[in-house]
Amino acid sequence: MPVKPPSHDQSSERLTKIIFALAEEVAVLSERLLTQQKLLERKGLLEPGEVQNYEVSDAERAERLGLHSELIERVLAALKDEIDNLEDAS
Amino acid sequence: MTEKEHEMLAVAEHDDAARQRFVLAAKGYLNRQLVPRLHDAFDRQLSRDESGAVSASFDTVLDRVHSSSAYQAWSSLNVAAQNHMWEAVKRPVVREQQRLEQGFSAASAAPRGSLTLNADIEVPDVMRSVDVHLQPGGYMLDQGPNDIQAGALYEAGGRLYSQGIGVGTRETKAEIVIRFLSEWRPGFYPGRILDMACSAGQSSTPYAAHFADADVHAVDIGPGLLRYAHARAEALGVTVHFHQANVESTGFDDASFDLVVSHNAMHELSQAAQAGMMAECYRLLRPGGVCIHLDVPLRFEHLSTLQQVLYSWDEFFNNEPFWSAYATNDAQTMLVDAGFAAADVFVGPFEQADKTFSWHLAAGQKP
Repeated sequence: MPVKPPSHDQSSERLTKIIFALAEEVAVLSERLLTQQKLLERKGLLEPGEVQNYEVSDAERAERLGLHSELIERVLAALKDEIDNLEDAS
Repeated sequence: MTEKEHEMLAVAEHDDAARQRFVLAAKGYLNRQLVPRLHDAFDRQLSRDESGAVSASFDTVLDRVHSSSAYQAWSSLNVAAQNHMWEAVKRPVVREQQRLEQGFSAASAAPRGSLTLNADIEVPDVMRSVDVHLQPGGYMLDQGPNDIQAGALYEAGGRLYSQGIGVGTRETKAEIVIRFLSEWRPGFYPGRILDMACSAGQSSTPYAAHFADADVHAVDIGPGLLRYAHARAEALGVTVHFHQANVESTGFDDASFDLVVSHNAMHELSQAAQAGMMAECYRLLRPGGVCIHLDVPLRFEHLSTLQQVLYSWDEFFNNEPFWSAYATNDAQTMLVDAGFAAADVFVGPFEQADKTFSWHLAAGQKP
């Protein structure tokens, strides 16, 4: 039975977790966009260039900021978990 | 045949399905694209003797591989992918927890089969302290009298993993064992069957469906696995009797089964426990009875030292504490020591019907 190797570098490990989570979010987002685009095209509701030239309202801007906050929280979950589990120094 | 759909499966919503597809793609890339590249890179760097064989010991190669920052980055990503795989299957299970627990309660009200839990059984310490293959909560997860999460996660994770590697999607593990039995002992028709270390019961139900007259029993140590397995079998309309028991001492009578099987159980057991399971099989079988244990085709004797090191990733980082204990086991000796005659033992590879994958089987027939 070989001896368990020492843990990998903690900083790299943390970064890897964050990047992997981020990549997953990008993948989910891409699929959601693709699903919506297909639905809209199928219904004849979307013309080429309409997304590119869309103007965001104030209410929509607030909604999008909220979405970004949730995204950041999910992406940085590894760091949050680490902080939450830090040993009490005292 | 693929595994059957049933009401105890949590439904993955749009984003869950997207997450699951992403982790499958990531695991596929990490293991099928990057592992061969890591192998070739380390193979070029290792010193060789005059015959061209790698002369370094397992520990030397292990040190070399584990100290590489590229390997560490790959390993960290592979751990992240495994954890995200579980998270991706856990989301629908948590979302539907209430419906699934009600499914268990309803199944228990008027069952075809049965469920017998026994909290006093002996459970190996490692099964309480380690989340095997990083499954959240591990095999022993038990959050209350109706908790089915361990089983729901196990089946959902297994389904996703099988899709990713294309194994078990055309012929299930139980179907392979049944086909092996028909080829090895033609005409053998068991009246009483036991599935050892049945987990979520995916391999228990096919026996009840295939051998329609047979009395099918299944054991495992995990209560959450067994509650789910019971509800799953009831949802499929198949009669199986599930019992919480250790495979080394099941509590059934001597000579009370015609067929005892296990699927991916050996690699979750220490070598002593594997031998204990074989001895228990011998005790449980009637004269002429057969035991068949199916597992992954991981045999260190057929692998180079570097391949052994790379395959050891699961033991070190994927919480498979008995991975190398399984890969170096001698099932032939275990079966003979248990009482089976060497002439009535088969230990070796057995191919899936579509020839895309070969399983490792260890079988014996009691005189």
